[in-house]
Formats: sequence, C-alpha cells, structure tokens
Amino acid sequence: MKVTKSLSLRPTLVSASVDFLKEEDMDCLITQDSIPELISQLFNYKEEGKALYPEIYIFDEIELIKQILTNSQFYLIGAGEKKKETMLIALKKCAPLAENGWAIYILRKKESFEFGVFRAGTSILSVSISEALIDRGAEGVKAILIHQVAEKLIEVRGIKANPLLISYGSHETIINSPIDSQLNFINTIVDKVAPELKEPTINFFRKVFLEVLQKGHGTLACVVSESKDEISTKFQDGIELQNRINIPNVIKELLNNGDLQANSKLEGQLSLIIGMLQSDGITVFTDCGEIVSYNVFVKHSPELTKTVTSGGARSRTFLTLCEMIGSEIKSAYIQSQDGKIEFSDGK
Amino acid sequence: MENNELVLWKNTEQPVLPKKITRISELVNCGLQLSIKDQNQIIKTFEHGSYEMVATYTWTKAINALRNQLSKMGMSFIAEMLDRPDINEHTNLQQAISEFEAIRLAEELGVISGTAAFRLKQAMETVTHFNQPELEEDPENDLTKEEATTIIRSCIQAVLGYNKIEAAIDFKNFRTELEEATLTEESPYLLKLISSPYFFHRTTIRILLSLIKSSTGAQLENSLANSNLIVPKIWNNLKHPEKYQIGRSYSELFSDGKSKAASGLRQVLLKVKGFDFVPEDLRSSSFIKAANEVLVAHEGMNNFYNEPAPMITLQRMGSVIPIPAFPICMTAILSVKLGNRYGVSNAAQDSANSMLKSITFERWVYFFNECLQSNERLLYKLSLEKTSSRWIEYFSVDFIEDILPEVTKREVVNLLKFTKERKQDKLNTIASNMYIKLGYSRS
Repeated sequence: MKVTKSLSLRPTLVSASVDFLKEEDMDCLITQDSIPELISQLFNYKEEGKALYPEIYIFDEIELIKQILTNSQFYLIGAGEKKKETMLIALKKCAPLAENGWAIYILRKKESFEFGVFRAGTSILSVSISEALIDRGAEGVKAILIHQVAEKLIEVRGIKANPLLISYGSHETIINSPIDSQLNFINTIVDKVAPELKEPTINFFRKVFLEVLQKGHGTLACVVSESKDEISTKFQDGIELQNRINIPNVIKELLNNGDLQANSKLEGQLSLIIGMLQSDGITVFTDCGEIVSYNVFVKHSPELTKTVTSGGARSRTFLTLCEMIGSEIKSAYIQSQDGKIEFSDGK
Repeated sequence: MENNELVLWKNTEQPVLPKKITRISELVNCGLQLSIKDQNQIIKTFEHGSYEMVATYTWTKAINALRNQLSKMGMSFIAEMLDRPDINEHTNLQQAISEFEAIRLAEELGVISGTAAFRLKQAMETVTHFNQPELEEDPENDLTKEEATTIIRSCIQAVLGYNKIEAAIDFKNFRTELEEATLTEESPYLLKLISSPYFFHRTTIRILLSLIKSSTGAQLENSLANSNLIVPKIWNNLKHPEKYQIGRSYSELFSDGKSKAASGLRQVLLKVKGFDFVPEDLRSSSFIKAANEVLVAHEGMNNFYNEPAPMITLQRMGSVIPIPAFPICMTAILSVKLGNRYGVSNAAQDSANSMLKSITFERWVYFFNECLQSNERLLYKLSLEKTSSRWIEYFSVDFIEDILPEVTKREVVNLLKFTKERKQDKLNTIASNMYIKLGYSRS
C-alpha cells in the first residue's frame, strides 16, 4: 500500500519566524504563528483577480513612528483580538487600499491588534517608509516589514535580524533580495549625479523600479556613459528621445522651489518612465540619471542565437547586453515576468 | 579650535581707524572698498552740506558690502545661521536679509567686532529715521554734520575700511573642526563648549545643521557623529526655538529624500527624546516665512510704510500659530508692536494687536519660559527707552500678576516685575544684561 508523503513549508516558516522575532526583540507567540500565514497569503495575493503587492508593517508603538515619518497620514481601519485571524483580517481589509505609497500597519497592543493604512512624506523624493523604519531603522524603534518583492517571492525584513527570503518559485535558492540587485543597478544610473542630488535621485528610481517589479512586468534596461558623445549604433533600433529626460535636474528644481509645479513634473516623469520600462525592448539610461531611449532592440550574436537558454528572447538580449559591458555600456538589468532579477556591471 | 579656547570669535586682524582722523576727506580716503569716484562723490556731497544724502549713500555701500561678504560663506549656511528656511541658493541675499540680521550675523561670526556692530546699529537707526517720508520739513528733522560724520566713520571703521572682511580665524577653525574631525567625549573643546554662553550652543547647533544639510561623504559622517555627541550634552539647556530648528531640519531632510542625513539626525532625536519638536507638517514653514517677511520690512528702510502688508498677510494665515513657528511669529508681532526708537507703523498696529489678542494664556507662559530669554531682537528692544516704554504700556498689571506664578526663569520673572512696577530703567538694564549674557556686546 502506498503511503502519502506529506510536505509542508509551515514548520520551516514557523521556526524561521521564531528566530527572526527573537533577534528583533519582538517575540510573540501569536506573531510567530501569524507570519507564516501572512507569507502564504501574500504569495500571489489577488483581490477580484487583480494582483496586489501590499507592504505590511508590524510594530508595537505608533506615536513615535508617526513622529519619525514626518508628514505621515495614518488611518485606523479596524481592531480585533490578539490572534492570528485579526492579522489576516487586517490584510484582507487593507490590501486593496495599499497602493501608491500606502502601506498596511498592524499595531500590537497589550491585549489586541489594531490595523490600518499609512503613508509618509511630501513628494516622490521623500525617504520611503521602508528606508526610514527598516533599512536605516533605529534599534529603539521596533518594526518588521513583510511584503512580496517579486512574483512568488516574499521578504521579511527587520532592523537587526537577517532578512528572510521565501521563494515559492522554481528558482534555485535565492541568496540576495531582488531589491538589492535593483539598488545595484540604480547606483550605476546615479554614478555621475552630483553628490547632493544622489540620494533623492536614488529614492526616485527605487520607486520607479519597485512599481515595475510589482506590476509583474518584465523589463530590460542598461546604463551608458554620459561622457560618450554618441550612443552605440547597436541601439539605433528604438525610440530615441529628442530631449533626454533628466531626472536630477527636475529633482533640483523641486528641492529649490518646493512648489507643486516641480512636484507634478516629477510625478509625470515617474509614470512616463514606468511606461517606458514596461514597453518591449531595452530602456537606455545614462550614468547621470537621464533616459536616452526606450523600446530599443539589439541584434543577438549568431553564437547566442544558437545557445540554449532557459529564458526566452529577453534573456538572450540580456546576455547580449552583458557582452557589451565595458565597451558600449556600463551595466545591464533584466527582470523577467516570473520575478527573476539580474544585474551585471561586469565586476 | 587651535588653542581650545572658547571666547567670542574675534577678528583681531583688522586695524583700528585712528581717532585723530576727523577730516572727512581723510576719513573717506581710508575707505578701501570705496572707488576713487565714490570717495570724491562722498566728499563733495558732504562739503555741499547734503548730509542726509551722503550718510544714506555711505550706509547703503557699507551694508551691501557686508551682505555681499556674508553671501560668500554660502547661502545654505546663512539660511541656517539665521534660522531662515525660506532662503536657498537662488535667494538674493541683498533683498532677503534685513540690515539688522546682516549686522547680527556678522557680529556672531566675528566678521565685525561687538563695538563695530553697536556702531553700525546706531548708524542704521539714524539713517532709517531720517529717511522716513513722513518726517515734516523742519530744520530740526535734518541730519546734522556731526551725525553724518559719525555714520560715515562707523561704516568705514566697521566695513568699508578693509579690502576684504572675513569671518574670524577662530570661527573658521571651529567650523572646519566640526566638519573635518570627529570629536570625542574627552575633547577639552567639548567641555568648554558646555559651559559657554548660550550664543555658542545656538551657533554650534546651526553650524552642525548647515553641515548636515549641505555636506556629503566623510564630512557628512563627521557632522553627524559630532551632532550625536554634542546635541545630547547641551539639549537640556537648549531653548525651544533651537529644538524646533533641529526637528524642522529632520523633517526637511526626510521630505527631500536625504536618507543618510535624516537617519543620522533621527538617531540624535531618539537619543534626546526630541521627536516632540519635529513638526507634524510643513504648515509651520509658511508661518516662519511670513514672519520673516515682517521682520525684513521692520528692520529695513521705510519700515513704517513696509510693515503693514506682510503683517496683514501673517494675520490672515490664521490665529492659531503652529508651535514650531510661534517664537519667530511672536518676534515679528512684538517687533511691530514695540516699533523702534522713532515710533511704530500705525497701519500695522491693528493686525499686530489682533494677533496679540489671540495669544492664549498658555502660549504667553510658553513665550516667557521658552522664547524671550534667548530672543536677542526683543531683548535689544527692551534695553532701549522708547521701545521698552511701549512694552510697559502693553502689559497690564493684572496680566503680569496672573502670569508671574507660571514663569520659571528668574531673569524673566524680574523683567516682568519691573514691567509691572513700571521701572523702566531697571527693565532696560536687565534686558541689556540678558542680551550680553547671550554672548553679544552691550547694546
């Protein structure tokens, strides 16, 4: 008689959650039980057929966090008993609202959980919530972030503990968060940007790439050196912008004037660039934060055409771009529909 | 600092204009910043007896040269030193900062001496007075030869007599130290700073904030590390305006996406539990901008004509002033109310009175406990005869009796007692002493 072999991720997730919470000094029996549930819910989370990518923050103190996130808005949506089901209700009720900068919070009180949505900052440039509370978080302000960073890939981050990366896909073990690869690529885009504009420009591009990633669309991009007089002829098959979009210039305008006009200009450019990145082909950036062209196609070398790759045309194009690093381009970036992200600068 | 000594930054390199020089031509020839053409015009106009014209001309040359020199130190630095968030790299400093602010800042940085600042303030007030369009045509209202000579002498002695005036070497070293090195707990400099007058604490905070906002890389790291060390040591003695300046800087860095600097300042604020001083929104910045416009009008030429418009704008912004903007708004409103030694702007009084009327009792307590003691503008006014008499006139005995039990600062209690008892001389003296205690020269 055949014996069914039962496989479950749950024990692994519970064990990882226990260690994670302990390292974060946020131990809690209910939270350790809820995190695996939230993770499995977030994987391929959909409402009415629409994929959603909510960010869930768990914290124990709200007043200080409101002060840290200046110009923040918090809306309490509900509250419930201190149990796993309340956390799942929080996700269900708040996920449809958690777009365009809004995130979900779950506040762990002594006897109950409160939940709602919140956002922070005054413009696209403002420091993001994850950066303020997690990436550059302070040990005195405890917070945990759970979110789907790419399709079938969930990340749990805190201030002290190593992040957890849970893949439900067919990839081999993923060592680095795709966000790290994104950041590496963005760093090559801002390489020659004036030092005082570097951080706000990074913040802007982080938001651009995160949105493209969360929309689950594949994309290809590369960075060319601004100092080169002409872009390689290999990039001629595409739409070259008559006037390059220079993001640091608009950011400078916004920082100097702080007016609605500059902010609206930047918001407009954000959606334009997202659209370009979602178009077929390659989007070409310079290392001083400009967009040169998009919808660009390059010819694959005969050797590559014959190569058997697990990916399709996009993967081949990425390999073609990688061959150009050091001569025509400085770095290349690929994001496939299944959430795989690769970056190369030849190093 | 090279010698680890903390004294008011002094520029010791400037030669003194000999007392014996009294002839106008000799005096003007010492004005190295004046072209030969300017010098000849001044002498000619003076000899012609157009004293008002020549005094105003020389004064304008001097104050513009001073502002020009200050602008070379960087606009973001000037903005922070004056706590003026409305000033940025594109601001025209000649228009944006008042004459009073230029003189005060020059004194604070050791660009000019305390005595030179005192003389320039006197010159400013005299020139401003005699330029009032409403002065009746009466020989008594003409600027005299002696007054014109004094103004020209003050301008040359303080500013125009030097090819180039610069911040004191000590000050430059101090700023460099905060930017280029990381101080330690044992640094003798730190110990001396703690026991120094309030002026140094405030200036240190402002330099640090300016560095945090404008520097990158290692300099930013040093500035943040030094803030993390220095701010907690002096936090308890800092007055609310300075605490709000730190909070507002954090908010601005956060909004502008300057992650590293915002994160560093967040650590400092967490350490001192100072997040109550971070404004919830940027509404207070609009009030601060409007209040500064009132002060620029008040401290500039034709102030009686120029004060009403910005004062009405400030009043229309609403009666509930956001607390981070409260100190500067009170400075603006009371400056209009108290006027200067020549009077008040009548057309601005209604708006000022209306705003003063809307200040709650709790806010007045806050003003006396947290704002007045370090407010050099108001203390300067209270040390002068005419302006302090208007102060005495405004506060009723009943109001002072009600508020006195709530006031905790000894000097302010005495100041209020003298106000209640209508002892103007004593009020002038205590205000003057408080002004000096801040680190300024005698007013």
